[in-house]
Amino acid sequence: MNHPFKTLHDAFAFHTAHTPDARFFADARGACFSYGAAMARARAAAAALRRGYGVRPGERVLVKCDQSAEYLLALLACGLLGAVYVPVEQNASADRLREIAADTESVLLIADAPFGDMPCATYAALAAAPDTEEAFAPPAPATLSEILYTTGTTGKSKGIAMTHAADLALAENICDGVAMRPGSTELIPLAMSHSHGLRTFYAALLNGGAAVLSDGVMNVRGFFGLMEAFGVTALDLSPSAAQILIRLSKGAFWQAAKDLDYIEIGTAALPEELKAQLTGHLPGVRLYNTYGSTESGRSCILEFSAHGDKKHCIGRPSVNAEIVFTDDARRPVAATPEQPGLLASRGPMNMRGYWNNPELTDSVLIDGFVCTNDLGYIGGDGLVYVVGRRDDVINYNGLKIAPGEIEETAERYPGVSECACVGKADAVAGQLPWLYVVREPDADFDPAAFTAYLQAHLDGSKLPKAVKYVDALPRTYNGKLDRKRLTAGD
Amino acid sequence: MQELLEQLKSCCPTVDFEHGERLWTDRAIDSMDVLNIVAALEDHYGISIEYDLLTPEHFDSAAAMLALVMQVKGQA
Repeated sequence: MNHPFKTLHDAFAFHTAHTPDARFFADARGACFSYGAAMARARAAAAALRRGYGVRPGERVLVKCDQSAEYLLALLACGLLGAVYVPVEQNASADRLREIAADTESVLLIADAPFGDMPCATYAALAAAPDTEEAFAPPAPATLSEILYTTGTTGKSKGIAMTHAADLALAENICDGVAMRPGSTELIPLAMSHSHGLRTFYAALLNGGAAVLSDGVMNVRGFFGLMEAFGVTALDLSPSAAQILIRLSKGAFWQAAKDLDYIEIGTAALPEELKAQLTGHLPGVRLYNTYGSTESGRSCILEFSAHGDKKHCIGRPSVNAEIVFTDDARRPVAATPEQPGLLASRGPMNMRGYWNNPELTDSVLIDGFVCTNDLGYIGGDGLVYVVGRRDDVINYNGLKIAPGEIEETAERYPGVSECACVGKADAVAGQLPWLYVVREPDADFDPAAFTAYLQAHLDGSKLPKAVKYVDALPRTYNGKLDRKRLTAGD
Repeated sequence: MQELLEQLKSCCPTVDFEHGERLWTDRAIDSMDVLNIVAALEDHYGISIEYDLLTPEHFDSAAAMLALVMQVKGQA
């Protein structure tokens, strides 16, 4: 991208100097900061952290997210100071706070209230810090900016260490990927302790635009109020947040969103049904689905309002991302729809590594590539496709079957609403492919004809050994297909 | 109230609706819970809860939710 910045703090300084009165960020509590005001308050807070709390460059500071403008000011202050911020969720348990504090050897907690005997600077104390003319050297691009902890649904959570250069590259991926225009105002209801929402804020900063924070989407009236009050031009949603907004608003969402520039949906796979709803109701709005991870953010982006018919497509590689596919030994391969490979992404947006965990870093970060367990290929159209996870692959008599191909074929059959293919344990074959099918209500569905259709359209080796008809497919809490439950069930 | 509590329990079995006074404010229920609760109340009581009523004060306790149901039924 065409700009002179080496870090987001260069961009912050630039916008402060050139458009000091432009809106930078606001929250649902009524706080609103221009670039000039944000710089003044961030400098005051940075000076207070340095003088009052003894924070030095490179030291880690826990920052408890409360979805407020003060939270963003605290992050900016840490950046000015060269300290490494470590966001934690606003509902983080005491155990999690202690665990992350110990793991990062954090010297300070910034939060709404003190916690235990941990040294703490409250948001109120930082807000009361006097203005200052103190100078702060811009952080070096290669130094650490933040450590983002996974939510740790299984096992111990991991700290993902990011640099200032990576944050800038992530912002570039987003600005370029969504064709962010000058003056764009993003409404972000996603937790700002999580990488997705945080990086959308980074993109708004790079763009010289604005970010508005909402504390989730439960308060639909408040959410729509923020859209109107700040002239919001773009939304950053998760699939579940989008579905909740649509359902709770009883369709009013379509009216509220119809004049937006774009909606970006990330954090999880986008269900086909939601994709169709959004494209059908918002024909004038650009709709994006982003692919990536905290380790390698926004590495692909799909404008599904333009390519919505391409199933399993995750779009094109982002401006800073190089996408390759590998075999199980992480050697590059020419992946195809028939023989998909494991996706790996390289670029300046990648993490430095896992905090204090070189073994794990070495197993994931290979030759600069963040290696995933997602199976896919690059199509003839130059777009990237992900057909499943390595864990989902069915090992039938030594033959590796990606369930996506079977599911895609089955779902083309009239009357099939959705389906899932999983491997059922078998003493002889290892696993047998079983297909679970949800039929459309009132469909005139002939199981024998469906079986004949599968026989005609699938290789014999990939033909499901059983077809089970169910009312619904099991899903996890956030709406993802729960293959493990299907695999374990009858 | 007992009827309402049964509906709420069916949506969120692990939430203490009998004693909770700050369910939304303290995040004992999340957006997915609210979605399910609204659907259950609408279905059970034959009402339609408009989105401008989806505010913390209407979902912080079972009593507040009962008052919401009564309010919507009264408007119908």
